[in-house]
Amino acid sequence: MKRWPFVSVFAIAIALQLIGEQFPFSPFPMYSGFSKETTVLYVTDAKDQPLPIKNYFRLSASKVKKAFNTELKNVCKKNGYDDGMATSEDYRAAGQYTLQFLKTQTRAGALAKIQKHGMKLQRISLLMDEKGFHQETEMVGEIAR
Amino acid sequence: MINLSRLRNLRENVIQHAGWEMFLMRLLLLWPFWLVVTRAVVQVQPKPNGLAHFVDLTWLASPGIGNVLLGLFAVCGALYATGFFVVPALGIITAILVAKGTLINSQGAINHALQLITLVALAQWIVYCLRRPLGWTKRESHLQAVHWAKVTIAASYVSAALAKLFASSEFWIARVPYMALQVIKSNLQSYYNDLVVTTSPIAEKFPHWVVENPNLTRVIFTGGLLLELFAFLALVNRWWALFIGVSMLLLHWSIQILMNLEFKHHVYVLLIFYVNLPWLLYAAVQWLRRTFDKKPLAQP
Repeated sequence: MKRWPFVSVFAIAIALQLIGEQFPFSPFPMYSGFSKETTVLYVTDAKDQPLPIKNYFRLSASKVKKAFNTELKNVCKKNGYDDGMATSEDYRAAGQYTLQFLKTQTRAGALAKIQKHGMKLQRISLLMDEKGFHQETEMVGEIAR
Repeated sequence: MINLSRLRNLRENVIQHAGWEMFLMRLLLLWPFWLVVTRAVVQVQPKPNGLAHFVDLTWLASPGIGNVLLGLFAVCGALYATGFFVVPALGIITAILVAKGTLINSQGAINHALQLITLVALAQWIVYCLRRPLGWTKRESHLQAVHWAKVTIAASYVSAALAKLFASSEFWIARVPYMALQVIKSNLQSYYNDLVVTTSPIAEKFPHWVVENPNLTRVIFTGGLLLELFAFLALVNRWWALFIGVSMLLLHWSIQILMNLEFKHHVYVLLIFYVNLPWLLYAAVQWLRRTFDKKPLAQP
């Protein structure tokens, strides 16, 4: 072992890569892949006024996005293609699932407001090119009043 | 000229920490442990991860369980810090961290805040188990436990670097300028969390600067990648640990300024095991004493 310097570090690092995301193990892939496109998800009421995600649902906007993306992958897998080929119906299905999931996480006080005012899931697409940044917003899910 | 023979000295060493240093390390580590133990959890696990594939962990969110866990943690934390019955005490703490972290990561969104602190606890517990201390723990066991905590921290950063190198077919450095989008995304997400604008002036200007200076951005971010890849040098001696620890803290601090992303558990373990503030203060005092205790030379 002593002939191979830092072998313990590299052995654990490679094991983390192989095991993948099984808590507490993780390959720690934060920002390992950059793309010229990304998305942000946020929640609004029926009048498109943004709702404070942490205050309403006890989780962060990044977790909302991760939950949406996980479901989008599942929907596309069921349909027999990769999430890169997702259709607007797939986005709607993942959006509806995400809103139902958010409802289970809603604080008691906020739940009454949602039932009264409804809620929508909005998806911002951000794009970068040599000229700068561009963005588009579309609604991907709705729970009516 | 680089003296290559000195590179041979760059090897992993078990640092001979004093008993009081290791006691303070265990005591300080209780703080990030406590932050995990007291984290709020919800009573669903819609997308099981890790152990949750086999065990229903939603009972952790049941009323009254929080107080039971806090009571257990208080007793086990005291035993762990003082070095008595470390195997059962740290075993229970590790089990709580694994269970809570697993439930938090079973909500359909993997988060990377709690893995490192839990892995550090797990690594230390395995070391103590292998050395089978009965009752009072010997110094050598603590030395090994501290060493393997440091190995685990280094491995997590090396793993993060490997993930960057192997994740995409295109070289990571080539795509670094697209990081600008991530900065905009993170700050938008922070805004939608609380509907409060928290973007720093630097984070406001940074994406546009990246578009204008893509190659300079690549050079700067290569430094961050190399820092992660060479994190294992923290195992050479105290000074390398201090250098890597402070550099990593600066990296996390810059991420926080640019992207509003906190890695507070990572910061705590770096401060405790790599920067080792109590020892740093002790070393500074010793150096000052040596400097001022030197008697002036007699006049000829």
